[in-house]
Amino acid sequence: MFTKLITSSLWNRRTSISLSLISIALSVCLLVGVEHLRREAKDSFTNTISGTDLIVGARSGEVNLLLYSVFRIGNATNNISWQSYTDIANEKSVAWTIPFSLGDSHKGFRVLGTTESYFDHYLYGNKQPLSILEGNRFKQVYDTVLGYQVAKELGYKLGQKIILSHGLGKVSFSQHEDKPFTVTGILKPTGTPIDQTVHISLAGIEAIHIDWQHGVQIPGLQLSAEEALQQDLTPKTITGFFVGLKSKVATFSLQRKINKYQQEPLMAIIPALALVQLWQIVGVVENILIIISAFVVLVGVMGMITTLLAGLNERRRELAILRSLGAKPVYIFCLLMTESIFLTITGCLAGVAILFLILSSLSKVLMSQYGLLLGNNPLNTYTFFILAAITCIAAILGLIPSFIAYRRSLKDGLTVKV
Amino acid sequence: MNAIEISSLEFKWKETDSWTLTVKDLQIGKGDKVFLYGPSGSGKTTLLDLLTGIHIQKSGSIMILGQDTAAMKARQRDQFRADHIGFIFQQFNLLPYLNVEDNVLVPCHFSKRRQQKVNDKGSARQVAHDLLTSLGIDRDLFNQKSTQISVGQQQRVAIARSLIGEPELIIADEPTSSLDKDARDIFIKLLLQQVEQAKSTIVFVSHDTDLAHHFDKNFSIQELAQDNL
Repeated sequence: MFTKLITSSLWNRRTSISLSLISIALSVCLLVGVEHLRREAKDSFTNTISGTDLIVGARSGEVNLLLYSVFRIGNATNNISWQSYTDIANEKSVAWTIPFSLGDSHKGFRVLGTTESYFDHYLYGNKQPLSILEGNRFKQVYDTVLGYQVAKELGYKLGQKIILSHGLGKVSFSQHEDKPFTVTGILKPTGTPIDQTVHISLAGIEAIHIDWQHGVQIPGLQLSAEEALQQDLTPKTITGFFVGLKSKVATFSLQRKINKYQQEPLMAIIPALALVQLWQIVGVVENILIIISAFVVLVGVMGMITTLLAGLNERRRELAILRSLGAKPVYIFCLLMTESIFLTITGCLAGVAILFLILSSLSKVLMSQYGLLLGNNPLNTYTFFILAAITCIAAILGLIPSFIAYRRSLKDGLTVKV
Repeated sequence: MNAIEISSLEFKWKETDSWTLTVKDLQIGKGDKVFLYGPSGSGKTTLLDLLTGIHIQKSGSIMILGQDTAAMKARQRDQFRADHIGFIFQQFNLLPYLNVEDNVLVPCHFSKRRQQKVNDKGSARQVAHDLLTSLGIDRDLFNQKSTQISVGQQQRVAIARSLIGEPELIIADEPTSSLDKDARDIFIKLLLQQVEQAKSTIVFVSHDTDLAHHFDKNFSIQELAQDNL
């Protein structure tokens, strides 16, 4: 009967009640959604690279090195020599290295020159290796393996010839049009900047620049694609390299060694630490979003309490009837409390349900349009903590109408003027 | 044991009030059908609140069914009311969001005693149906929302509700004031019939002296303040 009293009374007031339910549901949806996005963003951010112990490049800022080597943002200040690279790659503690060269692009997508080691050792996310969706790794100098998003956005198929541009930017005036590349492979989506990268071999990078100097083609010295193949295509410089160690213990000592490298100013960063450092800069915005949405939830809950309070006057009669039938004031109090807690929990559940709907319908679009991998389960222990906290706040605020009803039912007695 | 015994009762809302409700001596026996005449402003509501233990007198005593409600704790008084007293109000008696049948059943929810009495007779639902039927409420109205039936029907449903589980005392506060003359006579007839069947005591409060002849005893509130009753 208690349940029946509550449900049918709520149903009787369904218009105002459903409005406050919607406001709670939407605000909960917003808060949990923002929190989910924040976590997903952080995860995908910190999962951009994994399994790599050190990133080495020319000496500049840590964040800068991380940005251009992992996120393809910004530029290297300088290159490093092949000699330095081989020196460090031959260190006893080093298990593997992935050298890379940046600086060219294709229709706005960055070109990364690297070796097969990239496919063998580069890990992202939860130590996942790269895998190929169709085709093969690059074998020949003029082969290229496209990131998922590149192929998708430009509509490229295997076997297609593409021309790389010198420098970055969508529109480039200096094209490597004499040396077209053939698409031999397309990578599976990773949800990382790899999806937006055109991969070629270091030899390929060398070949397209063999007759270039200071960013322009040397007049009169043009070498055709075939002629270039005859040359020594061992790179003289590279942008940087990733290092995997045999044992993590060696990380700091090798980092120190690289940072003190005599022949050339080098810098080594530990990606995990640099990522955290970078996230702290980005994370402030996310925290502000969380705070704002927490306030939105508070407003939602207060709205509900206001609705309940406003409804009390209309229900004065109803509560007096209950009293006359033997309901104790405590019973009236519990009735009101249960109402506000029930509404909040329903609102929370509805909010989470809405979020599920949004995420599941949105994740496909996000993946196909932006290459964003968004988990569609926003629930974890932290979410439950949030929902529990909301319910607690609602319960505390719910004390107000409940207590007023309690006091009134003591004072009014059984005969209330309508 | 009388249903109600009041002696030397005096009640003021505030110490400074000049108005006082006084009841020198009132005895209402079990099974009595009492008409209490109380024009508005006579303290009728106050008296009912005292009888039902909503308010407590400072001097004098009120015994309901041999029990001193003033000596009880608030919770006990509430429970006592739920167990032993049935109410019929002037109007808007019913909970608007429950159907007719559920409205009748509510008192059993608050009183184990009344629930038990109903169970002894069969199922609660059956008892409610029988009561409603004998009060002339059609079976197809049982599942209607209480707001969808006429005022006359609502008041008769209120009778059924007050009587379910056979509480010893029925208090009716101007239950006919919202009814026209014909409905009023039917109402009183049905009410008294049912009260008699349940062997309950009824205190019927009204400002309408025309109704007094239906009852065994009648008093006016003003009379109660005098000694010679």
